[in-house]
Amino acid sequence: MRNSYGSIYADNAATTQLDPAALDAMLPFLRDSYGNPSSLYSFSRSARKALQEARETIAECIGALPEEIIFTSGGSESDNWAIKNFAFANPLNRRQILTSPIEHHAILNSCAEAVRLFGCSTGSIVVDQFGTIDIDDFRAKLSENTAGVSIMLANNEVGTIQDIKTLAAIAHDLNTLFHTDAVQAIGHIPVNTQELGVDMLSASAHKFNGPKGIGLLFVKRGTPLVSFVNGGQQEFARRAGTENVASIVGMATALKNNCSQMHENTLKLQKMETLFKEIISESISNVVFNGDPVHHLPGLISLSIPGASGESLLHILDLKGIAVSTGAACNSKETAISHVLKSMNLPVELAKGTLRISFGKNNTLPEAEYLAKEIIEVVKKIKQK
Amino acid sequence: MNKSCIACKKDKLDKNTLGLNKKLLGEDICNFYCMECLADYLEVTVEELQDKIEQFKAEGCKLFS
Repeated sequence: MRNSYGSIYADNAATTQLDPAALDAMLPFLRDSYGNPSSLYSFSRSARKALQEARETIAECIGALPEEIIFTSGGSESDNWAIKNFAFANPLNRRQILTSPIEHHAILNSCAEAVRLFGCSTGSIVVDQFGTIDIDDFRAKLSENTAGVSIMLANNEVGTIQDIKTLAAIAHDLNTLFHTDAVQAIGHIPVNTQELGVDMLSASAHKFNGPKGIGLLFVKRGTPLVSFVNGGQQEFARRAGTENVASIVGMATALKNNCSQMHENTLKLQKMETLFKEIISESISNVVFNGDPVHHLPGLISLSIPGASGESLLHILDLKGIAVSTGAACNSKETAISHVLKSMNLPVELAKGTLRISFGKNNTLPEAEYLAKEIIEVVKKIKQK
Repeated sequence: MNKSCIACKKDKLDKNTLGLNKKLLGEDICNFYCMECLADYLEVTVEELQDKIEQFKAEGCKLFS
C-alpha cells in the first residue's frame, strides 16, 4: 500500500473487522467444544450452555426476551423471513406489504417474490430528500388490507435514522405487523425492541464487528411466525438446522462489546465525521452531504461531488490503499445510480459523483484527515482532465 | 482512431490503456495518458494499474479486451 498509514478501511457499512475478543470467544467452539447443542450427552453441555448464554446476552443488548431471539444466517435471511411471513401469517384478505424505496435489496426483492409467489401487492412509502419516511404518505397507504410494514431503522447508504417508534405505533393502530431492518443500526446506536415497539427486527453480526454468516431475527412474543426452514426442533422449532455455535458466541461477544463501548465509539466517530466534513467542505465547492443532517448514523458520510465520478474516485482511492464505496457504478452499458439516491431525488450528476465513507471504531482521526485530503487531491486530478 | 499520450506523446495507445483512462479519469475525457504517464500522474505503479485492468476485465467491462 502506498500511504503512510498503510491501508485505510473506510467501508464499515459494508462489513467490519472482527472483534478480537469475539474471535477468542469463538475458537473453543471450533476447536474443542464442537458438540451438537441438541445432543443429550455431557460433551455437548458447554455448547448448549454457550448457546443459551449468547441468546441471553443478545436479548439483553436489544431489550428483548431470550426466546424472542432466533438465530439466522444473517440479515438477508432475516429480512426474507420477515417479509414472506407477512404473506404466510396473515389471512388471505390481508395481502399488501408496505415498505420504502430505500430499503436493502433483501427487503425489496423479497417483496417482489411475495408478489410473484403469494399474490401479495406492495406499496412504497415516499421519502424526502434526506431519505426520511413521509409519515402522511405512510398513513395514507396503510389500510386494513396491509399484511405488514417493513421500514429500515438506519439506511446503509446515507445513514438516515427513521422514527421507527412512531411508524410502528401507526401500523399497530390497524393491527398490522411491523418489521424493521436494523442491520446497519445494531451495535452502533441504541436499539431497544420494547421502546421501538416492533414485532420483528433483523440484525447481522458482521456489521457490528462479529463474524460473517450469522444474524438474528427478533420476533416479539405472540407474533405469528411460520417456520422458514423446516426440519429439527432448533430455535424453538421455528428455524431448523444445527446451530452455528461458534459464530453465535462471536456475535454475542461483539454485540456486548459494541454496546458497552457505544458512547465512546459514537463520540470518536462524530469527531472523525466532523473533521472529515470540515476539510472536504473547505476545498471542494458545492459538495453535498446526503442523508438527514441530524438523525443519522455516526461516522457514515455520503457525499456528492459535482462534476466528479464516484466510481473513478473509488478506483483511484483503491489504488492508494483506501477502501470506500460509491453511489453509482458502471455496468457494461450504463452508469447505474443507487436506488436510494434516486428515491431521494438527488440529481443524476450528483448521484454519479457520490462516495460513501463509513468510519468504524477502529479508524482514527489522522485517518479521517488523511482520507479527506486524498479525496481532495484525487478530485483535483479528475477535474483537471 | 490513433490516440497519443498527452504527456510523452507516445502514440497508438491500446484499447486497455484508453479504457483505463476513461475508468479512472472520466468517461468523457479527450486527453489520454500512456500507462507509464498515467501511473506517474496518479502516483501509483504501472503494475497496480495493470491489476486494475485485469479487475475490470474480470467484471466484464466492455472498455477492455
